[in-house]
Formats: sequence, C-alpha cells, structure tokens
Amino acid sequence: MLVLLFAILGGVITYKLSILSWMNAIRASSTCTLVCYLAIAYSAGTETANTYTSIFFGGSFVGMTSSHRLSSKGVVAAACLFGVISSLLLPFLEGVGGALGVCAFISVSAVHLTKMAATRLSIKMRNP
Amino acid sequence: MQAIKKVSLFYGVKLLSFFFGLFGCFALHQFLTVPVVVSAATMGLVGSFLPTTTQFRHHPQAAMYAGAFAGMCSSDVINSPYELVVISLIGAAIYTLLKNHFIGIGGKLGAIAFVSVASVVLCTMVISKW
Repeated sequence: MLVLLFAILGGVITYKLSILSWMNAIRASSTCTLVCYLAIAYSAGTETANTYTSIFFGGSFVGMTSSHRLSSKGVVAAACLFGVISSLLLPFLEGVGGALGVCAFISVSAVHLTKMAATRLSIKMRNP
Repeated sequence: MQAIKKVSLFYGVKLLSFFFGLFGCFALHQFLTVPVVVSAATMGLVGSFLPTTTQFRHHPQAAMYAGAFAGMCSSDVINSPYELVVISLIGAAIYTLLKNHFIGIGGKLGAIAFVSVASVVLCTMVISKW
C-alpha cells in the first residue's frame, strides 16, 4: 500500500511542478526525489529512505508525462499501474540501470493507449 | 550532406551529455557511496541547469538524465570503463533515433537507458560464453 502511495505522490507532485514555467520536467523529477529522500531519511532512516525513494523516483518518471498526453487523473492511474508493475518486474531486474524507467514507460503507454481506445470507441458510438 | 552533419553534431552532443550523466551517477554511488537514487537525481538536477540552445533545445539535459538512469547499474553489471563508453554510444544512438518519437511519454529516458544497458549486458554474456 505504501508503495502505491509513494508512486502516486511522485507522479502527481512531479506532474504539477513540471507545469511551472521555471521548472521543467527533469528539474521537477530530480528535485522532488532529493527532497523526498531527505525527508524520509530524517524521519525513518536511510534504509527506509532508499526503499521508498526509489518507488517515488519511478513515480516521478510517470509524472514527467506531458499534459497533452495524460491528465492528472491519468497520471494517478499510470502511477498505480507503475506500483504494481514495478513490484512484479523489479526483483528480476535488480542492479540494471533504467529498470524503473521501463516500468514507468510501460505503465504510461498502457494508460495512454487505453485512453486513446476509449476516446475512439466513444466517437464511434456517437456516430455509428 | 548538411543533414548528415546536423545529425552527427546532434549525436555528438547527446553522446557527451549521456556519458557525463552515466559516469557521474556511477562514480557517485560506486566511489563516494552516495545512495543510487540520490546519485541519479543529483546528476539530473545538475543537468537541468545546462544551458539550452535553439538548435538542441532541452535535449542535452534529457540525455544527461537518461545517462544518469543508465549509471544506476551496480558494479556487477558494469565491470569496465569500456562498458561505460559502449553504453553511452548505444544510448546516444537510441536517443537520436527516437528524438521525434514518444514525445511527452513519461519513462522514455529510462527505457532508453534500460535498452542500452541491457544490450551491452547481453552482448557481454554472449561473448563470454563464446
């Protein structure tokens, strides 16, 4: 449950911050992650910080999605999916760089494709 | 001829940025024992302050962040400095090929990093068994 919470937090905070004019997606993702690490390390220790910040970091990749691709609800859905996919895939990809990014890419693509399919289906149903 | 020169220049800049991100992140967590996530985020934050130009826009910053993701590898995966160079070459090539694809999709940079690292790991495994 905490995994999902941190993934959603990472996604939503990065998504909201990246819209700001002085803060691009890269700066938003990296800054949020560093702040999250410091906060958890201060309150719960470095071991816990390492575990949960990596999930937050992955969630922040989801939040780097452009606003014309996904809305904030879409980002929440993709972050939830990321939480599930990462808990399934990451044990097999331990120590390989980019594993979190692949999980984020899969989850964002899945939500984006579902959104596109739903939009096309609704257009077809309106104009049979 | 002009197009080849333009793509080559783009690739060269991406290669430098990717390698800097990769080496920086790897060195931070391997030699200075900084936590992996903090190393990658630090390199990303440093990279986000790279100056943007009209020709390259935000691409050097993004390539550096992608390199930082690739640099999150453990020392079991990357054994030699040559592997860092090969990962950078492949990563910058993939980045250049996908420049106009998957725009605005989150996780694209991480996926580029993963593919470049995985291809080097697979090649190393095949060569060592051969």
